[in-house]
Amino acid sequence: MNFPVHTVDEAYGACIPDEPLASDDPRYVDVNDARGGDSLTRVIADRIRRTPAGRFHQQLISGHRGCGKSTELQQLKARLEQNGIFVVYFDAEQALDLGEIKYQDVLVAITKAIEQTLRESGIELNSKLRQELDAWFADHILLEEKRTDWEASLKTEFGIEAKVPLLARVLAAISGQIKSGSSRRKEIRLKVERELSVFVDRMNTLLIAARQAVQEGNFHDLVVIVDGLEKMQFREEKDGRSNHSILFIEHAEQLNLPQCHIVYTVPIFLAHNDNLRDSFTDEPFILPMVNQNSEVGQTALRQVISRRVVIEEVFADPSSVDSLIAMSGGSVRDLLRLVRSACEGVSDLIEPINVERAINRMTIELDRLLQDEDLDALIAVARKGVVTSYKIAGKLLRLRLVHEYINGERWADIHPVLRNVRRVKEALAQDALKEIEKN
Amino acid sequence: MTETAREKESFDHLFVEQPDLARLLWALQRVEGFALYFARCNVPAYRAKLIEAIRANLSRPIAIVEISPLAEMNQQTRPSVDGYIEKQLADVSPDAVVFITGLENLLPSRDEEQMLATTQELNWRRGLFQKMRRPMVFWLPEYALTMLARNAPDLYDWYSGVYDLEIPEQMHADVARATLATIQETEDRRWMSKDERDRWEDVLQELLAAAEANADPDNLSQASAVEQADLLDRLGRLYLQRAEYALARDYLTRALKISEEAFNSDHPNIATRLNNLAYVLKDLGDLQNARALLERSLKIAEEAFGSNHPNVAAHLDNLASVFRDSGDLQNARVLAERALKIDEASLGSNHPNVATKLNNLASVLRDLGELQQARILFERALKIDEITFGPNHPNVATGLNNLASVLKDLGKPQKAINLLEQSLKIDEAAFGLNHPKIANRLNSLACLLKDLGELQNAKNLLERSLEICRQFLGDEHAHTRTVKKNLDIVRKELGETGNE
Repeated sequence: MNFPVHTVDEAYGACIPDEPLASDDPRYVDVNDARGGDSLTRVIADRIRRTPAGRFHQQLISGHRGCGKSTELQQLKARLEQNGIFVVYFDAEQALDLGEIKYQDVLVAITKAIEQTLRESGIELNSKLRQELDAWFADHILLEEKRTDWEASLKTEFGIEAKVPLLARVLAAISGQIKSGSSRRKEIRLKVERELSVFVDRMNTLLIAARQAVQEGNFHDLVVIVDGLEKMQFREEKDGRSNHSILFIEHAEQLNLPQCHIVYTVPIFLAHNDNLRDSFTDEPFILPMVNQNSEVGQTALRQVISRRVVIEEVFADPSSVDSLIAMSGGSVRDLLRLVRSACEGVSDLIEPINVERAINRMTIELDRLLQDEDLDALIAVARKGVVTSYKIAGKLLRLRLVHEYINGERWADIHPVLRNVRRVKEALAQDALKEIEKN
Repeated sequence: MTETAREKESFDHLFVEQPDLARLLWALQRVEGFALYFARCNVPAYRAKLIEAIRANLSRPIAIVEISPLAEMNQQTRPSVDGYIEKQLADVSPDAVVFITGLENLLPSRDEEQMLATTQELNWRRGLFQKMRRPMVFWLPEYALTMLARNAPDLYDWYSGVYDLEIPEQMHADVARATLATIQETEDRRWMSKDERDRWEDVLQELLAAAEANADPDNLSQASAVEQADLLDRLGRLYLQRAEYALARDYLTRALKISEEAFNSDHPNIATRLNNLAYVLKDLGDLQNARALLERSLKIAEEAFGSNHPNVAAHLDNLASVFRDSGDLQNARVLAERALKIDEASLGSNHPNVATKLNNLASVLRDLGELQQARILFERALKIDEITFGPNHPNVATGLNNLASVLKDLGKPQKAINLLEQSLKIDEAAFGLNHPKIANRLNSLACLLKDLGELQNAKNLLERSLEICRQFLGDEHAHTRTVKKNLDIVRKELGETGNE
């Protein structure tokens, strides 16, 4: 497809809410200025570059679902590669059981991703080292009696004939067993935990060898990017701790063990936790929503659309786009979805009535997500313009009923579409009345 | 006109009645690659019709993947939803649109663990749906869609469109009737979750409204009377489960009235109505009226079925419990023994009805001070219930509670506490935290703690219990007064005075 497109039918295909953009996609708009913060790519590339030799930068990244995180990480990867850095990128979504992640799983997945990325890039590891690592992982993590099992299960992953080194197969077996949620998962975690220092030692041996290997190529350093961890299912344990804080706060030390620069994505409301900030080298980078109320924000969001469709040829009234932008809450995903939805059923041009209907449909969907028990917390955010308690508002952020922004300082608002929901309207009116009475 | 053209035309009205169906068709006609759609439709039969309407008008193939076989498989070892879909699509044209039906079978509202397991799986494996590079439409009933939206937010947030396909007005009653039939089957076999009961109430109310609209109140046919009385009775019992006693009494009174108008006064149908109404009156503490109704119902049943019929046993048993509540233990014992004997003889000694009778008789024996005998009967009843209903059924909770009460009297407080805590857990899951049953369990537990000297804990539990009692039963109910008295005693022992 050649962008921008000229018809409504094509516009439907040009606005896809589920697609992160590759680094060279013509539809990419740098909206970092409009977010009000710094450019993720620039900041993190700089932080990595400035890290003294022999030390490593650990970076946490967070942001709302659908704010363009994965797209920005693709940009970061491209930038780092331009700077001569070898990037190991993996999506936890594909590699782990996001329903239940323990730090051991993350370490195993990182090890596997490093091995796999090197292999796929044609970078050879020293074969003696490879054999040593293989023997260790096979003997210590995979149990003896299970060896036959994994040999069988490997056939499905690689095909019988594939010439894949033993180390790769062992790592694939280990992570496969973790991911599948089989009873072996517990045993493997226990093994890693018991032999953590040796495990990490082997992993770092692999990393050192990997760094040497990439340096023999045209790279001078190595960065691991772990995307998708923020999607980890939220669960509260009986003692009030969440599985999120167990992984990222209590096991921060273990997540910092790999001897390389490493970038993790974390759930947004955890990014504000002070304990978390203490455990990693730099401030978490939080990608805020684009501020759809600011001029620069509106311009950027308009550009998101105009890179995809010729607005004047698709919308009967180009100012309709302003309503869509206002209702997007600064979420690129919501904006694209609104355009897509407004296209439906249209044969010629998108009329203002189609835009209105698209907004109404999104209203119904946000209403579906809002539970009565969360109404008070929602109104509190609307009144204060800021999230004061991440414990209470965590769910609202997770469901994206509340968006956070930055201009100068951090602020928040409820999703603009929610103001059309009757329950919310009534509660806001009542709240306003109470405020008047108070004064 | 060709065959297909005629077929197409017969669907035209659907696209007019359902603007969202037209939107969905428009989108599916144009979409390329992966896109995620949700179609909300509560009725499988109607859904099938809508799908046929789309099929007749869409210029690309449709592949329907039915998920329910997955729900039959072992949760630990079954394939993933995406894996299952991918396999079903192995030979399907790459151009096909995929309709996914039956996912609600993996999202049961009564089983939170299973629901979370499914939504988690969908959420973290969303990328694998995308990788199939096909448009996917998930057809879901309202409750399941909402569950998915809230618990698998990352997957849901990828949606391109959600389509509301409300069933037409004239279909509502048919649908409700079909639902009635399926629920009727399962109603007695297992406990309904709170959500299920709420939906059940909607179905029943809808049917009742339809039945009332179709009937002439001045000249009610017998069939219509039976239908209405049955619906009123079901609603009444539902409200009773929810401890909405006043509502329950109103509905069951109406059910009785309609039955009395339609049948002779000695019809067995009336006996059942009397019995059910008496049950509510008893819970409301109106023992005198409850007793009068039950004596009437017992007489009708004995005349209709003979004195050794299981149906008679139920009336005897209820009457026995009213006698027990009134303090007439000797009479209660005679009736309870008779009821037990009838059921054992006609149903065999391991029938769940026998468990009910055992519990009732044992309670009387306990009150009479025959503790060892009571314990034996309670244990027998508990065993039957555990086998019949599984370990997490409210009947089992009642059994545990009963056994605890006698163990307490036998001087085994620690054992009793363990059983009570277990029963509290079951009931909290079944009824929620705010229900008279819970008040009852809390009260029992508090009394034990008090005996062991844990006054502060006992006080906390009693305060919780009292609050529930007041809310549901009012200040004057015997249970409320008992709890209040217990609380006063504990407060006194703690040296607190006069703040209530």
